[in-house]
Amino acid sequence: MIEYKLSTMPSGNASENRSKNRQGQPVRQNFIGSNQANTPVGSGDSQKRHGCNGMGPTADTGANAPHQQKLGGSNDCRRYAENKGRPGAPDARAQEKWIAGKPVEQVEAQCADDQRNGEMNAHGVNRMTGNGDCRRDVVLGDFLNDRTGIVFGFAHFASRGCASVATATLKRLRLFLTPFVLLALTACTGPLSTLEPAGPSASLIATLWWVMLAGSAVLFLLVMALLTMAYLRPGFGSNVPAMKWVLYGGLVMPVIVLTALVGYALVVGERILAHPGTAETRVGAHGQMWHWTFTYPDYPEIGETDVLHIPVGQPIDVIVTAEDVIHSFWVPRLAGKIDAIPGHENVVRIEADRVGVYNGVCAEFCGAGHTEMRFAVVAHEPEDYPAALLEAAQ
Amino acid sequence: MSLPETSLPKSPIALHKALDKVWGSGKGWQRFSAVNHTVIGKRFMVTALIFFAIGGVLAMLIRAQLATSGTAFVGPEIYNQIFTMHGTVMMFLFAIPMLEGLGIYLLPKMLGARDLAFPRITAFGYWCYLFGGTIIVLSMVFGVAPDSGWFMYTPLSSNVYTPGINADVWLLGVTFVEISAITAAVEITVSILKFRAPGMSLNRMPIFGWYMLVTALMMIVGFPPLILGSILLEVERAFDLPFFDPTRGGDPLLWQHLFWLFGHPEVYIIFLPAAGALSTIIPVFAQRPLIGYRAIIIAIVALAFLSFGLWVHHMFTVGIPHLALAFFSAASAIVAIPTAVQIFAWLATLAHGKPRFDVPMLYIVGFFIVFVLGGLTGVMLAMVPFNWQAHDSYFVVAHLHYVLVGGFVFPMLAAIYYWMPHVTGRQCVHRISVPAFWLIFIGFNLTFFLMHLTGLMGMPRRIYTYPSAFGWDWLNLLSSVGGFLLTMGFALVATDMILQFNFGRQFGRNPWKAGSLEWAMPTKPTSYNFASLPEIDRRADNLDVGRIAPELAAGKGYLGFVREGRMETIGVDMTTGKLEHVALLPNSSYLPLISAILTGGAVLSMLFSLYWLALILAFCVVGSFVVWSQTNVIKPNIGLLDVGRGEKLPPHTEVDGPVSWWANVFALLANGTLFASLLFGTIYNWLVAPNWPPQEIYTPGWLELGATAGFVLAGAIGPLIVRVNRNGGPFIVPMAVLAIVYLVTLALLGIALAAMPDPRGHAHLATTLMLLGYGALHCFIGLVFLLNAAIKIARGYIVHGALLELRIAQLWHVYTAVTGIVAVAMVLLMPYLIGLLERTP
Repeated sequence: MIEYKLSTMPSGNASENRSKNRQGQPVRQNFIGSNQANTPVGSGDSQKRHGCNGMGPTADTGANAPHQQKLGGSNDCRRYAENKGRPGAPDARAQEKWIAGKPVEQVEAQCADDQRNGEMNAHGVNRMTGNGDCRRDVVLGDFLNDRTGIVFGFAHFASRGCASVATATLKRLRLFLTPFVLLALTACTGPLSTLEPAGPSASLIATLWWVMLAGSAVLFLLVMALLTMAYLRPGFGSNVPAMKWVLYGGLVMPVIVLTALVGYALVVGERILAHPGTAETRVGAHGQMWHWTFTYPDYPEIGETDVLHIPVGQPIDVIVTAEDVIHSFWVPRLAGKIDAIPGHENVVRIEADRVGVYNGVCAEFCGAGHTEMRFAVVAHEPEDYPAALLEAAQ
Repeated sequence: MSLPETSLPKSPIALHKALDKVWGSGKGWQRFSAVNHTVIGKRFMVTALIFFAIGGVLAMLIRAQLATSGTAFVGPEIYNQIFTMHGTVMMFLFAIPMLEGLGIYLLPKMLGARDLAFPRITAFGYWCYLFGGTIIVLSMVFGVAPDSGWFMYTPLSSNVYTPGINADVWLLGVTFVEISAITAAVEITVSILKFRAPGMSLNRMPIFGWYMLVTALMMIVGFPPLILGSILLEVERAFDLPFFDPTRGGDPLLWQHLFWLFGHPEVYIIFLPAAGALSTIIPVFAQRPLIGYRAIIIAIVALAFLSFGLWVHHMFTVGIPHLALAFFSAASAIVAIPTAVQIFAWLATLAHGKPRFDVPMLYIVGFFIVFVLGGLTGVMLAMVPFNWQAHDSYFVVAHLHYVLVGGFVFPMLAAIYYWMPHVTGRQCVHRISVPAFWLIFIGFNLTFFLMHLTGLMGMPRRIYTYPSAFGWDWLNLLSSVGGFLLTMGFALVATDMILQFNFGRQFGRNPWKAGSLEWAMPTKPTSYNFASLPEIDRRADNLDVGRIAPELAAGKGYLGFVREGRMETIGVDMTTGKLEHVALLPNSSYLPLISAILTGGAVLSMLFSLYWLALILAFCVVGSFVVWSQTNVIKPNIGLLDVGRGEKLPPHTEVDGPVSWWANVFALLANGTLFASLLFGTIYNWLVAPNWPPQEIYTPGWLELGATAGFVLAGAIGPLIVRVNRNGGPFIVPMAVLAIVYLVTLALLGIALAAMPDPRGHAHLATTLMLLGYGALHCFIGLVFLLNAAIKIARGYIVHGALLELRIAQLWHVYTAVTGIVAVAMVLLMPYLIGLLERTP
């Protein structure tokens, strides 16, 4: 089997070569979706929403103060982020520990070191976007934009209400709710959390999830209410003819709900898809027991890296291949996963909204080293990207 | 034939003694010869529960390992064995045998028959399951348990990346168990269709019968793709013939298609019998008949069809075009509708009735909560974009446990508490049943509800440890705590069962006031079920059990006597339930055990690569089946037999469609699905796999054309034998001709196979070998059929007009002809198809 080394080929020809000749190279191209033109995924609104997200990994030691302000509906978060979040700028408050986040340049330097040392495993554990509290506020900020308003809307109303109306009752309500909202949000965040999206694809899917969760909650409560009523008030259902129960509950309701849901999901899927020719950058991800190597067909002079470097704010098509057994490429905060299958070539589109380090894992069981097959994606400002790549390749 | 002396009315006690002498299974060593469905059904369920306990211990090890981050309890090698075995044991050694056991135990009792159609096959299936399961579980003791996941994805499970015998244990052990499952499925299907109480037309059948019928048919069609996949993968591992190897024209995705073609219907195969139990139990506790009997039947038939059209939703991330995924996504969503129909039919039954509470109802409420949640997350996972995130994460682990535990374990616990009094003759005393339920319910939800979030926070499946930085610690710790609560609950249930078995309160008839036939018999049940068989005049889940039971015990129904020491039950017309024939069943026998031991020996020989020994043992297995056929033979030309109540019926050997004929039809349906899967594999690799066209193309010649002629002749002569026999001609002549045709075809195919280029070079050659080999194997078995018939002719059992054996063999000959012609045609067509490939750029 011929190894997949895009870096050794002229960038433009790589894919044509592969698809033409099945005999020579055991790879078949498997572009998802049709050829239709499509508006760029993750358009303006998504970036706008993340207005305060353009920060590097941050470390915030004064954790609690910003929280409460944010819940009060203040815009401090944005200012805060703008002040300190100039991408790549050294952060005065950055701590020594990586887990709290490091300025991107330092991270990259370390990436290069690791690459030389071949210590892949360390990435997954220690390197991630800063887990500073401000980002949690960002999540709240997203709720303000109705992204997930259905579920957490009540919290939002409660918190905004107390900032403007400031009645005693609402204050008490706010005091009561704040810890719960914070807990719920803390519970959902994490370096691999699909519920803390950092790119348009992951954001769309997270929204889909919250919508489905809300709908499911309603349906579940409906069934439970009927079941409870059957016991609390025996015979309560005999007003409704027997077959109407089955007709409305078993047929009409699911048909309506499912039609709407399938349509919605189809639209979301089409927006996420890697439609051929609409991505500005292509990178290769090659899975091998048990590590990933990344290649850059657009930058033929760059060799393989074991950290994936991407520019922020633009869709990137990752061409995923495998050397030996099936692996799966998954960066939960950026997009869904795609399998790396020997003999096949799959494409997944990722995009990061802000500079940072994003963790990835192998999601398909691939033997004894499956657990350790993690990797990191570093997102750079587009203008810094070529330099960062050159540095990474050294 | 004159009225037998024994048919004279007797006292119920005398009748009981006479029947039990014929039907009883014997004590001591004779237990190994038992073929009675009550005995075998209980054995199936107890064995399945033991495997459930083993699978549960494995789950505890998983939870112990994952309780905290960075645990050093076990390393990845052991962990991989543990989770692979947990999945394998729970799916193949617990769930499927448990539902088979339930069906085997209950069906004849519910349908008003004395046994299943093939008592010896029931026993054989049990021994195969026991031996196969033991091989799989023992491999753990020796540290060579399968470790490639219960889904065995290639290339990881190929001998390049899993060189030990671990994967072979899985492939051979599971195939062994699956074959036993298919025999049980065929038997259950024909038993439901033919062995019912007179008057029980299909639309009077208790709803559980419908559920089991649909389930069994799904097993017949659903299991062969996996059996074929396992055979191909084992051949690839053992003999290096590529089917899934992408470097030699195979494709790892072919395995996934074959696996999930089985794997998805499997989920419904597990769910449906449990739903059948619910549909039986809920009306009893709602104290009114089931609402939507017909709607439910339509729903489950629709479910069965749909479930074969959505296997791809396990493969949303393999790179299939989005629009194709959208189709399977919609199909997966639609499957929620038949399920919703059932849920609302049950809710309506409860809402229209006067529900009362007892321990089974506790588990049913638990079922509603857990299963509805599982169904909702199932719809979420059917949405392609969400699936891209959630697939292979702990979200799926949570979902599948909600569906399988909610849809199978909770209903099974309800069923155990509901039917346990039937098995033991004792009622449960509530003391620990209720706390056991709460431990299970709370433990389950604590364990698995949180896993939804664990998955959304990015924890992938099948990792043996995780760093604390990812924020999964508290979730996993709570899941582990929940897991141990769950285990305590199951331990309490086990204790409860033992207590009930020994100290439960004895009761009169029909403790739940149910309306189905299984309660119209002594409990615990007698070996013969009913002292005489009832006539059914209404839907058989709404009967007056209190009136029927004593009449049956007094011998006032059909067959209320013993004739010539034979086991007899009534066969009816499939749809109308009208009296059709008397089925004469074989008595207790050690043959099933002997055949199963020989089969197990063949499997073990293959496991240790002793292929010649395996071949010899395989011949012994075939030989033992000939011996089966030659024992308990029924004499020709018996004529009409008295069945009581003034009716006379022919024995099963003298009617057109007895169970044995239908069983062969369904067995060939399973075989045909296997063959279709092989064709699918051939075409799939040609169409999709990398490294095509092959460098060496097999061009068939006169050998294959000769074989085609042989198959055409076999298809013509098979029916001719029957026609000549019916017309009183010398039917031995066409039989001899057919034997020669088979021998010549075998020789031609043998030469063709021997002259083939090395099939290890490319999937094209390997599949060609399998196709021709399939034809050859069927010729060989056709010869065995002819040999068996020849012996019976010599022994005077097949005479003019004794058509049954010949008609069953005719099915085989025609099937061999059709599949043989298609197989050879496929081989002839391949060079042309490969030519097409070369022409496309």
